[in-house]
This record gives sequence, structure tokens and C-alpha cells, in this order.
Amino acid sequence: MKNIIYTIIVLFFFAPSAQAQEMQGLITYNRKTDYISIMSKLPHISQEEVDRMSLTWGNWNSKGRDYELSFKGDKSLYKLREKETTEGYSWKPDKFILTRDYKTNQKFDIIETLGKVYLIEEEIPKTKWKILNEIKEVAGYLCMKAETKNLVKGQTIHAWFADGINFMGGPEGYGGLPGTILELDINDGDAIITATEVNIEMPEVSTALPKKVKGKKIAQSDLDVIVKKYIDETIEGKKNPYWRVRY
Amino acid sequence: MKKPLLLLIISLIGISVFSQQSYNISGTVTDTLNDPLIYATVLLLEKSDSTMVDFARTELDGSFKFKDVKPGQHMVKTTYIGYIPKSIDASSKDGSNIDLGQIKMNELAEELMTVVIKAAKAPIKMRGDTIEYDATTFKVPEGSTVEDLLKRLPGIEVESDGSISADGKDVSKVTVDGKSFFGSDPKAATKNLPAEGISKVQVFDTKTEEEEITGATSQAEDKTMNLELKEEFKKGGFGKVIAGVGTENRAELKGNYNKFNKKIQFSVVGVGNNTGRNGLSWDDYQDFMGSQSFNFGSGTDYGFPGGGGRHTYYFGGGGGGLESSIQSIFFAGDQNGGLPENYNGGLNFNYDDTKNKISSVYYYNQSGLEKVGTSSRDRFYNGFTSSELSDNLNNDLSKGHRGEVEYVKEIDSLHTIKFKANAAFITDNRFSEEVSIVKNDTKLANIANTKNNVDTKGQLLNGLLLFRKKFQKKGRNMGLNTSILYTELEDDWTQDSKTEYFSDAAVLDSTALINQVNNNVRDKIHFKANALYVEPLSKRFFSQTFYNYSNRKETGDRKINDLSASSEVLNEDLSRTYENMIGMHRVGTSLRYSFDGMNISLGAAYQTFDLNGIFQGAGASMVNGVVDKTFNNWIPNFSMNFEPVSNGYLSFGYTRNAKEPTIEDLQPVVNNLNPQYVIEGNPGLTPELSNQFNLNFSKSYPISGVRLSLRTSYDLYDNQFSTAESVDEYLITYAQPINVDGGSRFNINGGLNFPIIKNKVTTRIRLNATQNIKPSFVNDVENNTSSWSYRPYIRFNITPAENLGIYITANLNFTDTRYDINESQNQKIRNESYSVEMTAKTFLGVYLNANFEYDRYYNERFNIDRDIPILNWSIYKQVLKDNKGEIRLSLYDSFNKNVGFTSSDSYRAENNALGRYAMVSFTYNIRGVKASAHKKSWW
Repeated sequence: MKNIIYTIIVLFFFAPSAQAQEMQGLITYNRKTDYISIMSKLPHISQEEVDRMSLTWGNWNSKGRDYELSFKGDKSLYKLREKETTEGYSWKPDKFILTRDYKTNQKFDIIETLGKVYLIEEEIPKTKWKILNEIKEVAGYLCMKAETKNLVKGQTIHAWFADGINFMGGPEGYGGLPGTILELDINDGDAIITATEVNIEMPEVSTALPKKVKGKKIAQSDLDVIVKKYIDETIEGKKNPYWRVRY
Repeated sequence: MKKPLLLLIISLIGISVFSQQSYNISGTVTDTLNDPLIYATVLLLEKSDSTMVDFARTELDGSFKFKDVKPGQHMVKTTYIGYIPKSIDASSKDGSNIDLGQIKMNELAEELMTVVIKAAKAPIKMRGDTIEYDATTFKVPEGSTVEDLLKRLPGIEVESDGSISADGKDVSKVTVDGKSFFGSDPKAATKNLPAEGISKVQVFDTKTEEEEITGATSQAEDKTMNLELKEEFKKGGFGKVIAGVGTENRAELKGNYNKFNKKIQFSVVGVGNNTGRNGLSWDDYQDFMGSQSFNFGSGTDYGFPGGGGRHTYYFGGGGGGLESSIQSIFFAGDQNGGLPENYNGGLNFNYDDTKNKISSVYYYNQSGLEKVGTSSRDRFYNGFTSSELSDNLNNDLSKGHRGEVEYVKEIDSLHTIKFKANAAFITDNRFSEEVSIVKNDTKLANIANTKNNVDTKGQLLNGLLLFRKKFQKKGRNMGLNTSILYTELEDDWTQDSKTEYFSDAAVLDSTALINQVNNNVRDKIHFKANALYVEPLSKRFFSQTFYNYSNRKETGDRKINDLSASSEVLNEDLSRTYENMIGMHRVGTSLRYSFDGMNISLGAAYQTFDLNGIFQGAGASMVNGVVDKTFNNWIPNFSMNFEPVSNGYLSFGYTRNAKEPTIEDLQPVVNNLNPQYVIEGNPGLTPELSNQFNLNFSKSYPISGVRLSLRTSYDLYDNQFSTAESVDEYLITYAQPINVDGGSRFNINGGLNFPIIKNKVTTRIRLNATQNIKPSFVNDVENNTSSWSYRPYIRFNITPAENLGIYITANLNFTDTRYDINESQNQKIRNESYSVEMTAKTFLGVYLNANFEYDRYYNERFNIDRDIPILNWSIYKQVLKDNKGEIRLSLYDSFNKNVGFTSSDSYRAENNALGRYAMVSFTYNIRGVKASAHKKSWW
């Protein structure tokens, strides 16, 4: 019995003995946003409107967007994967590049939101994680569940982290757990960012920032105030703020 | 007495000082065989809410240590791959170091690991005595019951008699969403509920009544199973009924009902009224069509990547009459006057399992309109003016049945096939009576009395087959489609007219009597085939090649019989048959660059028209004509768009459009069907070419809420279709289609939206200007009619509080028309429309709505200054439980001033309209009526 389990472990999971070394790798995530669910929670939307939205758009299958997290030692870079324009039209996505250095506890983020590019260089904020009693597999890794809150957007965040990958970062800037976050679930499925491919034996990964990015330097707390104000005002104006602000 | 208190205080301080000290926690993680687990994760958590304080990894001997742990209640949780996570209390009561000793971890049961985690990829949750799986990921065949699902869940046994056990203990109770299901027989739920409706299965120890209250737990003998239902299985339907009766014999009834789940949508809608409001809103359309409301990019006539290939949505069909679509019934505006009576309704069914999409819709539409009114028309020639004054009466009734079926199959991720068929059947009766007086300057020219009765029957059949293929190579795509359309229209037309012509001295000169029966049958078969191929040249460059083929065969047979008291004689001059074939080939290619928000396309197409027509007169006159023409044209195309600044878009495009002349216009035959307006075809006509330029810019500022846009277009024509007319002394016009140069059309449209006070007062400003230049010939003199039209628009949305909304709109239209052959006839027209709408929630939940519309029409040249004020009121209140009902009392057109009014440069008409009436109506809405003093903002 025990042998069988060990075989499973060796077959499916990364061998624990190798974990002590400095790791580097590339993880591809797919982000899907459920706008019907997001809008259902807005105060001005009635049940009839929720029904109407799910009736019209409920079967609309979005392919989501692919993101890449490259990490090396204690450093990581998270950004949108460069997309091939196979659909016949290319949109310019908002800039969204996040870097983390868990050794120096510093982050440098380039975030384009509400029509401006912001540069945020400061300490990585401390995330208060609760560890829950649930386990599941994501991309071949056994993950534990942790929970935190995003107070700016009023969201409950669930992270599934793999303690088998010895890097404490994850997608969308979240991290600080004993392992890499392979799935992030924002407000019970409103947005789900799942690892689709984990490659931890990449010969070469770069966590360097793109050179020459113009933007306005801002403290995270100041940007949070701008975003929170926009969200509150837009909801007061009976509109969905999350067309413009990343959910 | 004081001492013990002091001691207590000291000891309390002592304890608190003591507990300020941090402590260490250590331990060793092993498996059940006492072998150390190396590099296991150890989490240090707050005991109260599991907040993570720190984490560590075990050493080679399985040991771990947390140093300098701040005092408090703590837990240590150990995790290791393949083992059940384990939590242990690690609080230090007195601040001393804690040694947890050996922490033995249990292996995950193999079946949990292989079945739940690996195969089903379902999370498992351990909550005290509960193990929970997400049942959505357990694949069971369609139509399976919960019992079939349970048989697949690890740790659960289902006996042949249906009794269930979990972890060796009997399941004595099954609940659904925490509630007992059909009493407490566990089999009732598991045997009857469909497995696909279940989202979660939970199994836990059955608690006794006492334990439920006290929260105490004991070793239970049996277990309870809870089945959680999926959200969509809880969804029923929604729908509403509105019924109203009013004064002036007015009534309206409208109802719709809708039922849907993840795969199936069914809806029904029905409307009947004689109030002229079609009663159907955008929401009703969406409720009716469901997932078929929008068909993105469903255009089948492939071409250049238009405007950079942005998605546009099409409402299938379009156009009027036979080829119009169901959507045009929904979006038909309110009628301009007359007394209407409308009935329509239909059924829609959609099925969607992601691989197969089926949609079918049936719609019936009946509309009747009675109109009485007057109209006047003025025309200017070099040296004289004609004016026509008419009194008319119209009574129209049309009925139509339409049906549509569409099937889309996604064969695999690369291949899609689509089949679509639609059919329509319409009948239409139009009756009109008209008395018109025509004057040549001020002299009476003729008086005509006309009575027409037209019965039309029409049918349409249309089929489309489409195939889309994506290749393994990313970006390589192909599309093929073919369609066939068949229509037949038959008119039976009785015309009875008497025209009296007057000489210069206003003396009756001659009288023309027409008393005819006209039977006109027109058939059309239109075959189309289109192909598109996209090849990626690199990551950023693509080539797009297309081919369009179209073949249209039109046949007509018109028999006109002159009626006299006793006989019916075929009118050989006017009766005719024709057969026209219009063929078109177009082949084109373009090179496209698409990257990072920049899209550029450059291409060209070659287009050929083949026109063949045979025209045959009837009987001895044997008028006939043959047309056999081929036209070839080059069509260049360029478009680009990009985002030069954040949230700012700029696009520019140029294309050329070639339009073939109609065969009727090419036939060298005189058409004297209308004796007042005789047309002769022109075999020398060539295709009309238009060079179309457009330039657009838009920018938005999300934080301030400011949006601005500017759109311009300019069309320059070569060989534009126009007419050469000559008018004789009796004002009979002889017309011939010709090609002219120098025509153009320019349009500029600017828009600005901004908040004056955020969320309280916002404004929207639009300005539209259009210039039209079109040359024509009258009595051999070239006449350049040029007109400028300016349309400023401003709107204020005022929403100072939740219970008050005020909306003010001004919409003006200035037209400045210049005739270069007769400048004295130049005219300036001004049409103004203002509206103020207010909704307020007053005391006792009563809403008050007032809508005032004021329209004004000016035309100095014709001495027109008309104003039409319309005021509508309504008060309403929600009633019944959950606001499911609404009672509404309305008064329409309080001033009784409503008329139908039209005013353009050469034409004016006024007719009767439904005036003042009051109506009481009741709404019942299953989902509850939502009332708001504010208008719905678009998402």
C-alpha cells in the first residue's frame, strides 16, 4: 500500500528532496472573469436583470487570458502572455507587470488603470492568510487552501498553494505562503486564475523588468484610494466599475 | 483586606509580564511507521481564525522549530504530500517552550488520492467529522440519478436495495440543501434526483436533537448525507403580464414567459394593443431571443477586414417587407399618427450544449393602421413651380408569419458547421383614396381622384450552409458558405382614377379615366457562394483572400386589364413580362498587420457584373428590349486603427464601392404605368462608383467620466445615378436615369459626455452636420441641389436623489437647401424637439411620472410654424408580496394636441393621430416589478 502511494507521489509530484535547492521556473496561468456573477452582486441590479444576463450571455464561453509567472530564487515577474493576433484584430491590453523579490521584500509594479500608467516601488505588503482544511490538485500539484481579503475591492480571495514548489509568490501579486499559488479564486468564482502549465526545470527564465517604462510613481496606498473612489462612485452611478478596473 | 487585592494585582501583573515573553515551539514530523518526513511543511497558525503566523520546513530528521513565537493561542499544522494535514494545539499557557514531540501523520486513503484528487480533480474538505467532495467533477452519464453518482464516490457503498453507507456506517438521513427531502427516507432523494443537478455531497455524523442544541458531540452510530443543488437547477422561469383598458376604446395586453436552464431556453411573448406603442422593449427582445440575441460576426459576404475587423453584430435580415426580420418587429418605432391596431407574438426555443447549438423561432405579426390627412408637395423648375395639394385616406392591414431554424455544430475545436433556414409568409391589404390638385405656379393644371386597393401575397424561403475551419497552424483559417433565397410576391391591384386637365384659362381641357385591374407576379432566386482564406505570414502579418459569387434571377409577369362596364380587356401597352439575370464575381486580397493594438490593412479586389435582361410587351404592340452588359471594376481598400493614447482610438479608412444599374433602368423601353410620370430606360448607364473615406477618433477619461468622439465620412461619387426630367405644359414628367459627376456627401459627428456634478447631473452633447450635393437635369438644365443639415442635441440627466430623476433633452434640426436653377426657392427648415421627463417617488411608495414633449416645425418659405405639445402623466404603485404587482393610472396627451406631422424641403404632410385618453393598467411580474425614479443606465 505504502509503495503504491510513493509511486503515485513520485509519478505525479515533484520529488521532495529536490525542493531545498533554489528553484526557477515558468508557470502559465489562465484568467477567466465571470462578469455575470460580478454584476449580479451590484446593488442596482435586480433579480430579473440577473436572469436576463445569464439567459443571454450564460453560454458565452470565454477563453480567458493567459498570464506568465517566471521565477528564479526569490524573484518573480508576472505579466500578460504576448498574444498572437489570430482573431484578426489586435487590442492593446492595459499594462500589468508585477515583480517581487521576497529576499529584499521589495516589489516593483507597472499597472495601467483608469487611463494612466502607474509605477509602484515599495515593500511587499504583508498579506494576512488563513489556512483552511481543504486540499486539491492543480496542474499536477497537491495544493492547500488559504484565504485572505482584498479590502479595496471587498473581495474574498482563496489561494491554492503547492508546498511542493518552493517559491512563495503567485499570480496577481499574491504570495507569502509556504509554496507557490497555483490557483486564485476571487469571490467564489467571479475571477479564477488557474495554472495550466508548470515548468520548473526551465533552463533560462528572466525576471527582469522591461526597460524604459513611462509612468507616474505612486504609493500603493494612494493608488488604492484612487481605485476605491472610482469603484464607489461608479456603483453609486449604477454602473459596473469592473469594465474599467481589473476585478 | 487590602493585601489580598494587592497580591492579586501583583500576580496579575506578574502573569501579564510573564506572558509577554515569547516562546519556542518544536516537534518532529513522522509517518505512522515513525519514519521522519523530510521537508514537510509546518504552519504556525493563530488558534482563533487559522491566520498564518509563520511557516517552516522539517529537517532531515523530521524536526522543526519556531523561535520567538509571540504569546497567544496557537496551532501547528503539518502537511506532506500524500498525507492528511494534521493540526495540533501549540498554545503556551505560561510562556514556557512547547515541545510537540512526535507528530504522526496519516496517509491519504488511496482511493481518495486516485479517485477524488487525481481523477476527478475535486477538492476534498476535512471539517471535523465531515468529508466533502465537489460532485460537479464526477462524470456520470446523462440521465443518471444521484444513486449512480454516489456509487462512484470513494468511501460510499450503495446496496442493491438502495440503502447507503459511508465509511462503514449507515446513512439514515438524506437532506437536500440542508432540508429533509420527502420525509427522511434516504432512498427517495437519491433515486429520484438527477445527478447533474447536484453540486456537492457532504457526509457527516447524525446529530441528535440534544447535540444540535448543545453543540456537544458524541460517537454517532449513523450518518447524514446532504446534497447541495447547483445554482442553475434552482432557476425557474420569469415572466410578466401587463393589461390595460382606457377611454376612447383603447386597450393593451402584453405578456411574456421564459424558462431556462444551462442548456435549454424557452420563451413566449404576445402583444395586442390599439395604442400605437408596440410595447416591446430591448429587454423584451433579449428575454425572447435569449442566447441568440446577438450574433457576433455572423456576416457571410466575406470581404476586406472591415475597419480593422472589429466585431459588429448583425440583426439577421433587415430591409422592409418580405425580407425584413423578426427583429424589425421588435424595434419598429412608434407610428407617426393614424389609428393603429397591432397584434404580434411568438415562440423561441434554444438548445446549447456547447458542441451543438439549436435555435428555432416562430413569430406572427399583424398590424393595421387607419390614416386621414393632407399633404403638399412642391417642385421647382427653371421658370416655374408646381405644387400639389392632396387629401388622403389610407387603411392598411398586414399579416405575417415568420419562422427560423439554426443549427451550429462544433465538430471539434477546429471545425464548425452551421445550417440555417427561414421562411416567411405575408399578406397585405392597402386601400387608399386621394384627391389631389396640381397647380402650375398659380394656374390650375389638373385635378385627380384616385382609389387604389392592393392585395399582396408573398412568401420567402431561405437556406444557408456554412463551414469554418481553423488549421493546426495558428492563424490559418478558412470559411466557406453558400445560400439560396427564393421569394415570390403577387399583387392584385385595382385602380380607379379620374384626372381632369385644365388649359391655361382654367378651362377643362381633357379628362383621363383609368379603371384597371393589375395582376403582378414577381419571383426571385438568389444564389450566393463565398470563400475566405486567412494565411499568417508571420506573427504580425496576415494575408486575407476572398471570393464572392452572386447570381440573381428575377422574373416578372404583369397583366393589366382595362375595366369597362361589361368587359375586361388586356392593356397591351402596359402589360409585360421580364426575366433578368444579375451575376457578380468578386475576388480580392489584402495584407493585414495586427500587433499590440495597431491594425493596418491594404488590399484590392476585382469585381465583374453581368447583366442580362429580356423584356417582353404583350399582344400586338410587341414592345421588347434586351440588355446584355458586363461591367468590370477595381476596388482598392485601406484601413488602419490604433490606440495613440490610453483609452483613445483613432481609425482611418478608404474604400471604393461599385453599384450596378438596375436592368429596368437599362432597358430602352418607355414605362407609362404612371401617366403623370413616364420613365424611359437608358442603355448607356454605367455603374455608380463611390470613393468612401472615414476618419474617427474617440477618447475617454474614466476617472472624470468625460468621453468625447469625432466621426467624419466623405463620399465622392463618379457616375452617380440621377435623373434627367422634362416637364410638359400639363406637368407630366418624362424621366430618364442618367449618370452624373460631382455629387458628394459629407458628414461630421461630434459628441461630448461629461458630468457637471458626478452621479447627480450629467450632460451629453452631440453635433451632427451633413452636406449633400446631387446634380440632376430638369428640362435640359443642370440643377445642383445642395443641402446642409445641422443637428445639435443636448441632454441633461439630473438625479439629485434616489427618489427623483429629471431628464431634459433638446434636439434641433436645421436644413438649408439651395437650388442653383432657382435661388428664390432656397429654403431654411427648422424642426425643434424638446422633452422633459420627470419621475419621482412620493409618499406611500407612489411614483409619479410626467413626460412633456414639445415639437416645433418652421419653414419660412411655406409659412409653416406649427407646434405640437404633448403631455403624458402616470402614477403607479407596487402592490402584492415581493412587489409582484403594479397598478398604473395614465393620462396620455393631456392637451389633446397629437397629430402626425412631417416636414421636409419639398414635402409636408399632416394626418390624424390618437389624441387624449386615460388608461388604467395592471402589471404582474413573477420576479417582482422594479420601480426606480432613475432610468436604467446601460450596465
